[in-house]
Amino acid sequence: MGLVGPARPTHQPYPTYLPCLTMLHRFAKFLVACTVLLILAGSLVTSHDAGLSVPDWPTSYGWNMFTFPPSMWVANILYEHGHRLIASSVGFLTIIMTVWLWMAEPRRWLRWFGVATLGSVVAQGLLGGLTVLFFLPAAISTAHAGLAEIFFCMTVAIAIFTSPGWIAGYHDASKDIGPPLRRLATFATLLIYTQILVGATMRHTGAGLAIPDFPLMFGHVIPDHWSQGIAIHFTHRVGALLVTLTILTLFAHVWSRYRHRPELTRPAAFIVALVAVQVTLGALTVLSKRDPLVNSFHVVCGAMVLTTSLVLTLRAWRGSIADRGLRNADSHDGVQSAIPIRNPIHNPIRNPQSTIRNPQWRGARVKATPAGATAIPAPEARRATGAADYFALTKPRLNVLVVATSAAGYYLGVSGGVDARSMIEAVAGTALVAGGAAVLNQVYERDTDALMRRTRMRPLPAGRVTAGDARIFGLALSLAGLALLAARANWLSAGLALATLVIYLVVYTPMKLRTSLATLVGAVPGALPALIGWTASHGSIAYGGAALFAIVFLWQMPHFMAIAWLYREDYGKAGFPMLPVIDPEGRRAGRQAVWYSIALVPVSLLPTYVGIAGSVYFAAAFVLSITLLVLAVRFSSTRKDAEARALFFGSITYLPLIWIIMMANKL
Amino acid sequence: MRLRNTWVGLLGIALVGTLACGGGSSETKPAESAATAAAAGGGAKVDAATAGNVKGMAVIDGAAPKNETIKMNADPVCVKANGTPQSQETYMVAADGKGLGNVFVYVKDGLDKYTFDTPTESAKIDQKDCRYHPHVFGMRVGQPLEILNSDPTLHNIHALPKGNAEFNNGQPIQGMKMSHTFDKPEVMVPFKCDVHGWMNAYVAVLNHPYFMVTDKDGKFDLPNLPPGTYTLEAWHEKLGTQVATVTIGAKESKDVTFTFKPVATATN
Repeated sequence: MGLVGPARPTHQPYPTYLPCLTMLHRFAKFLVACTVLLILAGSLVTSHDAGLSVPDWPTSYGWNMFTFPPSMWVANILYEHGHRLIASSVGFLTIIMTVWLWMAEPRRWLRWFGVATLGSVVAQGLLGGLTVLFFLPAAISTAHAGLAEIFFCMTVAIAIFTSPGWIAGYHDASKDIGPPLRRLATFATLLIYTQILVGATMRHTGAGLAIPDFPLMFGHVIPDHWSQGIAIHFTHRVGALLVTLTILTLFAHVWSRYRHRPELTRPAAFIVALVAVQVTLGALTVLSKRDPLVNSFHVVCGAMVLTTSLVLTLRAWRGSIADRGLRNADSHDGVQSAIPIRNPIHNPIRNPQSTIRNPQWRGARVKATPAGATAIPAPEARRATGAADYFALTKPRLNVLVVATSAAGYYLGVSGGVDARSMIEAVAGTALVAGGAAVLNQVYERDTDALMRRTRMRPLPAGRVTAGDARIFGLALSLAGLALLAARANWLSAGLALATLVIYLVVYTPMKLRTSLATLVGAVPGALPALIGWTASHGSIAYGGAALFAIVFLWQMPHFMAIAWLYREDYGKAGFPMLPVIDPEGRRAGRQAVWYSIALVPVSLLPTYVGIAGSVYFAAAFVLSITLLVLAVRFSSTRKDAEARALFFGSITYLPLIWIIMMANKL
Repeated sequence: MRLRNTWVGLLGIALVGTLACGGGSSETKPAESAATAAAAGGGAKVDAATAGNVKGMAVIDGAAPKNETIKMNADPVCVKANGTPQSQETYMVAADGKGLGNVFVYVKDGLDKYTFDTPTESAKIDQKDCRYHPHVFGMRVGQPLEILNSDPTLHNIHALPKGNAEFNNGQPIQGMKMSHTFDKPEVMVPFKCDVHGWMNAYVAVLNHPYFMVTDKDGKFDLPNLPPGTYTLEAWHEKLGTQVATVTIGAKESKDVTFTFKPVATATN
C-alpha cells in the first residue's frame, strides 16, 4: 500500500519540510494513480486489438476528441477513445504538476525533472497518434509502450523526491547503505525494464501465443523448433525467470542487512508479492489464450513491478546522490524550518476543537434511537415492542442495502426478460439469510454492544429479548433463507449465502475484536449479496458477477473508514481495534480510504468492459468514482469530522447511483 | 481526410520524415492507375465468337469445421440486428455437405496477350448488420470500389493489402459512402473493422474479368473465355488454394472441380 508514502510517520517528526510540498507530494501520488489507470487503458487497447478502431487522430471520427458523443463509444472504440481521453487528462495533470514544481520546488534539478516529465508525456502522445496514422507498425507501438513505462517511472520518482521521508533523508540514515544494495537494485530496475521491452515487442509482433503451452514449451523444456516469434516469446520467459531470481536476491539482501529500514523493507516485500502475481498473470495469459483482461492486468502489474523496484533503487541511492539538492532545500526554507511537518490544526488529537463533534450531528443520532429505551422498559411497553424488537434484531435498515444489491445483481445477471417471481424469491432468500446473520451477530456481540452509545439500546443489550430466543430466531431465519435459495434459485446461490453467513459469524465477528484487518474481511460478506443475486439469475459467477462483487467490496472500505473515524471513541470504548482507534491521528484510515477509492475507479468501469453495462454507465461511473476519490483524499488530508461526514454521505450516495445507472444502461 | 493528411504531413516532417511516405498515400488516382493497368496487357481483344467457358465446383472432402462463434454484445446495434448466437462465415457448405461456397475462383495465368477495358461502374461493399456484404468478392484494377455503411453505428474500414497501399477510414454515420481504387492486382486484400473485431471480408483485385465466387452450392462459371491454356486457382480463406490447368478450344466448355481438405484447427 503506502508504496510511495513517507517512511513510518510514527518514528519522529521530520526535521524540516516545506508545507507547500505536502500538497504537491499528494498531487504527485494522485498523478501516479492516474498513470496506473492510463496504463491499464492502454493495455486494454492492445489486448482487444482496438488500436485502429478510431482511424483518425487527434480527431475521433472527425469530431473534436472532447466532444465525440459517448453514444458512439461502441465496441472497441470505447477502449481506444477512452485511452485517448484518460491520456489527455494525465497530460493535463502533468502540466499542472510541472508548473507547480516550477513555482514551488526549491531544488533546481527537480524543477527541470518536472519539465522533462512533461516532455516525455507530450512525446508519448505524439507516438500514440503516429502509430494510429501509420497503422500500428510494431516499432512505433513498442516505442509507445516503452516510453509509457519511462513516464510512469518519472511520475513515481517525483512522488518520491517530494516525499517527507526523502527530504528528511530517511532520518539521515541513508548514508550507511552500502554499494552492493545500490548496484543490485539498479540492476534489477534495468533488468525489469528490458524485460518489459521484450514483452512489448512480443505483444506488438503478435508473438504472445507463439509458444502455446506453459510451463513446458511445445512439450519440451526448451522449444524444439524456432521462429522469430518463438524466439521473442522464449526470451520473455527466460527474462521472467531472471527477474524473479534477481528480485529474490534483492529481497534476501534487504532483509538480512536492512531489516530495521522500513523504507527499504516495504518495497522489497511488496515487489516479491508483485512478481508472484505477475508470473501467475503471465502464465494465465498463455493458458487463457490471451484473455484481454488477464493480458491487460499482466501489463499493469509489470509496470508496478518496475516502479516498485525504482522506489527501492532511488531510496538506496538517497544518501549519495541528492545531497546537493537537499542542502538547497534546507537553506531555502530557513525561515520556515521551525514549522513542523504537519499543520497541528489538522491533528484532532492535539487540537481539542476538532475532536468536539458537531452537536447537530450528535443530536440527530440520539433522536434516531428509539425513545423510552433508557431505563428498564415498562411491562406494557415490553409487550408492545416484542414484535418490533425481533424485527429490529434483523437490522432492517442495513438489510435494505442487501435487498437492493441482491435485486440489482439478479436483474443484471438475467440475459432475457426478468421473471418477477423468481427475482422476489431470490431476493427474499438473500434477505432472510442476511437478517438471520444480523440476529446471530448481535447474540455474539451483546456484551460489546452494551458498551457503545450507538448500540447499547439494541434489544439484546437492553434486555428486551433473551439470547436464547434470539439465537433460535436467527438460526430459523438463516435456514429458511438458505432453503428458499436452494429450492427456488440454485445451489451456487445457496452456497454463496452460506459462505456469507459463515464468514460473517465465524470469521469476521470474532476477528473484529482482535485486528483492524477485520474490516477487510467484513467487506466480503458485505459484497456477497450482490453476487448471490447475480448467480441466482445467471447460474454462474462469470466476469460480470466478479465485477459486481469487486465494486461493493472496494466501496465498503472508504465507507467504513469514514464511519470508523466518526465513531472512533465508541469503538475504542468497546475495544474494537478499528484503524482510527489504533492510529488516532487517522492517517492509516485516511490512506486506506484513498487506496481503496483509487482501486474503485478502474473496478467501477469493469461492468462496461465485461459487457454488462454501456458507455453511459462508463462515463457516469468514472465521474462518480473520481468524486468519491476526491472526498476520500480530502478526508485523508484533513482528517476532520466534516470531511469524514462528507465521505460517508458521498459513499451512501455513490452506491445507489452507480447501481441505478448500471441497470438503466444494461446491455 | 484532408485534416488527417495534414497531420501526417506535419508530424512526419517533424519526427519521422523517412516514414512519412507510408501513411499519406492511401488515396490513389483512378484515371492514372487505370491507364497503367491497361497498358500492362498485351493489347489483343477477346473474340466473343470463338470464346468458350470453364465451369465447375469447389467441394470440401470431409466434414467442415464448425464456424467460430462471435459475440456481438459490445455493440447493442449489432445485437439488435442479429440476435444471438452468431458465427463466422468461414465455411459455407451446401446442403449436400460437399459444395463449398465463398471460394474465389479466377484465372491466374494465361491471359497475358489480352487487354481488357476497365469498368467504370463501381464494385460495392456494404457494412450492414455488422457484417460485410459480400464476404468474398473480386474487382478490377482501376475500378472504383464503393464502400457503404448501412448500419446505425460506427464502422472503420481497414484494408490490409501487401502490394497496394494500406488504408483505414472511419464511417461514423449511417449511409456514409466512400470510394477507393486499387492500382495493383492482388489476391486477396483482407478488410477488417477494428471496432467490431469479428467483421472481415476479402477482396481480390485483378486486371481481367475472369473470376467468380462460388455460390452457396459451391458452383462457379467463367464464361466468354478465349481458346487457350489457363492456370486456374481457387482460394478459400482458411483452406488455402487449389490450382488446376485447363485447355479449351473454340466454343468449348470444360468442367473443373477443386477439392479442399479440411485442415486440423491449429493456431499458428
